[in-house]
Amino acid sequence: MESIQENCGVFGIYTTRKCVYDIYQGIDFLQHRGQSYCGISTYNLAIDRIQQIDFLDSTKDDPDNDLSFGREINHVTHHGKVIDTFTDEELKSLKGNWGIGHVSLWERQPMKWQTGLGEIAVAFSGNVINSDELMKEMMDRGKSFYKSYDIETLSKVIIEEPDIESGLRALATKVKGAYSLVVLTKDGVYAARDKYGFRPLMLGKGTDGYAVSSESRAIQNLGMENVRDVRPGEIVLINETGIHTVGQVESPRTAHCAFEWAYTASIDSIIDGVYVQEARNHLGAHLAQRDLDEGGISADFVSPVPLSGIGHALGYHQRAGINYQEVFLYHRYADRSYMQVTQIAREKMAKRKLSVLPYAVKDRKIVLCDDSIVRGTQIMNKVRDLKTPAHGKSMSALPARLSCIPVISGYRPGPMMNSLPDSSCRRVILPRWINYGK
Amino acid sequence: MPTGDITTMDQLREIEAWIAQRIGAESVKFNTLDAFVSALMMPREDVCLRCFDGKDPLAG
Repeated sequence: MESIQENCGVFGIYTTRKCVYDIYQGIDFLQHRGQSYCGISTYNLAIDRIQQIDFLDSTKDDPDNDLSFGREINHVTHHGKVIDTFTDEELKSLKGNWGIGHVSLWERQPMKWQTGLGEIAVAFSGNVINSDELMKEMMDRGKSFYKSYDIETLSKVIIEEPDIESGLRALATKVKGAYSLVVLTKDGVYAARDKYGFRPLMLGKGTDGYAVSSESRAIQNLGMENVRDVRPGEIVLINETGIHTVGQVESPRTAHCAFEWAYTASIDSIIDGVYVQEARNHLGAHLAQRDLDEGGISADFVSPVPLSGIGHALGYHQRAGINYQEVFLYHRYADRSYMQVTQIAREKMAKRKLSVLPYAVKDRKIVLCDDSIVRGTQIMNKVRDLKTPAHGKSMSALPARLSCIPVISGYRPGPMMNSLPDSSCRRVILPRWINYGK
Repeated sequence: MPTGDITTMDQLREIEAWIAQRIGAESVKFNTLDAFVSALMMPREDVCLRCFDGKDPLAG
């Protein structure tokens, strides 16, 4: 069984001043990519042992925190969201001018290692298809594993090589799957993207440093500018003198994950030269075009399921010439419904995060747009909410438009899609879609 | 429960009708695969569509 991990976010930075607050903000800007775990590692050249001991005392409740005595890397990870978990004390104690951060659904990262190459910390976004195979091969050679995380396997592949660059090259030959990865070392922050470029990875530049991020929004919102995407197969080192390409593995083809533009990424990001917002507008416009081609549609307005459906609904509105109107109030403090583990928890969360605007929908006919159906939980609840008798008879007819084609399998846009056979979406996942719509 | 490969618009419409009935919508429409890819404004061969068409980009 291949491990399931996707939608994580990585961030790395090298600055001329203390970097932890930039990392903290950076991973907060990537929070939509995973809310289960978060972590920061910084490279502290002038480590203060006394302060570390004090700090360890203050954080002893969390057994996974790992501030080893006298080492160079300061390291704190948490279960939960960035702004909910990191304390001021921890942020003060994460010293140094360069570091990495991570937000995740499954694996607690970064992972820190004492190695022959010095102390390093590693974090990645993606999924390793052949991790069982790689682990077995290493275990046969006497290696052992702590949690069987993908990040553990990736780290060990790197650590076995004589230097980090060779390690990152070895990843490209040994690892099957997707990874956008950062490695914190004494020389700076290494960043590598798998040779297919499945997951996004953007480089940035500011007045006092350089950064790398799963999404450009973290760079933009830190007041830095996007430099370019890391190329598929490229190995980059970020240090005090800038962004350096230190390796380039041959890329057999490009295979950017289509879900990033349609679903995963934030609408203010640009990935591999394509604005997420523009792609979503086009997706909505294409849906409208299909309706126009198939005889048109009559409605008072087109409305999104927020926030995911907004770009799509705007595109639909622009192409169809039907007015745009919000019909839900978004509860910004609720989580995305697909992150919740049980069906009941998901339904409760889906119910909680969007409330109908009764004035907007009263006696109106709307076209409802969203990005996709993952489990069907959200769209079913929203249709039900809109169609209550209190909203008038017009609402009994409610066309729904979904920008993504139905999902079947593969690189797992959400972590539990294929692991929960009881979910309604499972049935939507089953068909294979080949060559239709010519 | 609809299963199997979908290769025609009629089959697409069939599953759309099935989903519409399940979620209580008047109708459901998805983008076609071609429309989806063209919205991304990049060559089809540069995008991983495995979640949609089942083709593994690693298979070459």
